[in-house]
Amino acid sequence: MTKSLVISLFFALGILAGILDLLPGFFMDNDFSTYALYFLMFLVGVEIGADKNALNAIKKFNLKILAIPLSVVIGTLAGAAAVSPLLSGISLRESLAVGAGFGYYSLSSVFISKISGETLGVIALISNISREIITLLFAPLLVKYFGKLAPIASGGATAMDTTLPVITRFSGKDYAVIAVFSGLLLTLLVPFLVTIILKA
Amino acid sequence: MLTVLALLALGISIGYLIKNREKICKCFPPLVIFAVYILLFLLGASVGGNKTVICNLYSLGLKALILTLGGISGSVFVSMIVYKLFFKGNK
Repeated sequence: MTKSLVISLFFALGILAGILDLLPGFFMDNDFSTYALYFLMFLVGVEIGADKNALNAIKKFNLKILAIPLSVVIGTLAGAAAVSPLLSGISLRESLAVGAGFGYYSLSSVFISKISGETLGVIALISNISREIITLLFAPLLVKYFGKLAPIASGGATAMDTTLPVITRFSGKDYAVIAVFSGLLLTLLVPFLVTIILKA
Repeated sequence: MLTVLALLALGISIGYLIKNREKICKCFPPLVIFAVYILLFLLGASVGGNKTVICNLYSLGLKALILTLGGISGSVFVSMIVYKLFFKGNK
C-alpha cells in the first residue's frame, strides 16, 4: 500500500513537471524511457529467478493449479469486454488491453502508453492501481462471499508480491503457494497479452 | 517486444544463478523500485505535457474504475466456479 502511494506520488510529480514544462528535452526523449523499461524488465527477471517461493510454487505444480491464472485471464478479459460498451471513446481492444494489466500497473501502463498513447496509458495506470488497492481493502469480504480463490483472482499479477500478505491471512497459508504461482504466471503474461491485444 | 523477452529471460537466468548469494540478491528489489519510480515519473511528465489528458483526468479515472470493477468481477466469478469445482473440500 505504501509502495503504491509513493509510486502515485512520483507519477503526480511527473504530471506537475510536465504541466510546468520543467524537464529538459533529454528526459522526454522517447528512447530514454524505452531504455528505462528494458532495465526494469531485466530487473523483474532477476527478481523472479532469485525468488525461492516462486521456484517452490512451480515445483509443487500440478494441472489443477493452472486453472487459477487461466480463470483470472478469462474472467478479467470477459469482465473488461462486458463493461466496454459503457465507455465512450474506448474500443473493445483497448478495454481488453487495460484489463490484461492484471494489476501490474507499472509495466502495463508504460507498454500501453507506448503503443496506444498517453490517454489509454493513464487509464491503464489508474485501473490497475485500483485493482491492487481494492484487493488489499476487500480481501476478507471476497473470501467470505466468493471463496478462498477470490482474492487471488482479484489480485491478479500482484498476488505474488503486494497482495500476498492479505491473501495468506484471509485465504490461509495453503493458498500462498497458489497465489505466488498465479501471480507469477500473470506477471509474465502481461507484456505479451497487452502487445498481442493491441497489435494483432 | 523481442528485446523485452530476451531481457526478461536473461534476468531470470541471472537471478536463478545468484539466488543463494543473499548480498547480491538484496540489491535488486530497491533497484526495481527505483526503475519503477523513474518510469512512472516520466509517464507523468508526458501526461502533464498532454493537455487532452489533463483536461479529462476525471472522466479517464471513472472509465478506469469501471474497467477495474469489470475485470475484478469477471475474474472473481470464474475463480468461484473453479473453487467450487476443484478446491472446496479437497484442502
